[in-house]
Amino acid sequence: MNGPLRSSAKRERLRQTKPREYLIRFVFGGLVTVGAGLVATRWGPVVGGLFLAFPSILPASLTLVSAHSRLTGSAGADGLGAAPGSLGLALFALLVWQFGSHAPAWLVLSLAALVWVVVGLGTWAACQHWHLRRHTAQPAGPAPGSTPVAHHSA
Amino acid sequence: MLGEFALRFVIGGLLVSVFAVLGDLLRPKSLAGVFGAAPSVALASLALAFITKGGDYASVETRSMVLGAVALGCYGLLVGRLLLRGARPTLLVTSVGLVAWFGVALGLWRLLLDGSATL
Repeated sequence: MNGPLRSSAKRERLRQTKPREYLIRFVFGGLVTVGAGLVATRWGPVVGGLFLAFPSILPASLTLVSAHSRLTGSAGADGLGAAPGSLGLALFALLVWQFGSHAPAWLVLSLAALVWVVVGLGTWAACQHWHLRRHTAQPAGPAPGSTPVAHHSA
Repeated sequence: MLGEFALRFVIGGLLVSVFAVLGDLLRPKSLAGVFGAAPSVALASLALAFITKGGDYASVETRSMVLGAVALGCYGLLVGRLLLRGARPTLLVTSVGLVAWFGVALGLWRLLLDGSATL
């Protein structure tokens, strides 16, 4: 694939993350999971369930990405990517809600995780494709209704 | 009880770390961002909920989780747009986003689920 649709995975990128940053993510993730459990214990599963979709990793990730790149653009793109992921997450939850009482846990959770991967990555690819088509379809001249720029010679 | 929370901490921390590493490997950054909305906390919490409290409890939790996921989508769009427009510092922007997440999640819960049966 070309242009914005081109994606890649490289192991060398892991070296950009310091051991301390992995530790921060581990501790933060552990604390959010414990916090979600405490909320469910105190206020019940209806309120506790909300926190299963708490942005556990995003604040730390975006801050780290921003610190690495020294520009907020990369972190912004990272944040926008969470939107298709959250659509997958909503369908993950919907699936467990509908079948959690009737099917074995391992089967429901595995299928829900698969749905998250397919929907999250599929929606991301569809958004990229739409974005690419929108930009390539635009004419090179000024947009309709825009004021022409006057060029003055000295 | 303490043992369950210790287990929850370790499993949650590990799953969040695994999805973070997957996100680090990928480019462009918007693709990596998909892994920012990974079901890491959910998988850890639901696996334990299925084992200790049963499928009905997990079902009730995930019904609310749908609303939390909608709030997470709003969080991603808001924080992503603010950062792309050059808003700084990142820590402040992500913190404002968390307030928005609480607002949307609790607002939807109040609107749709408040007063619904609990287990």
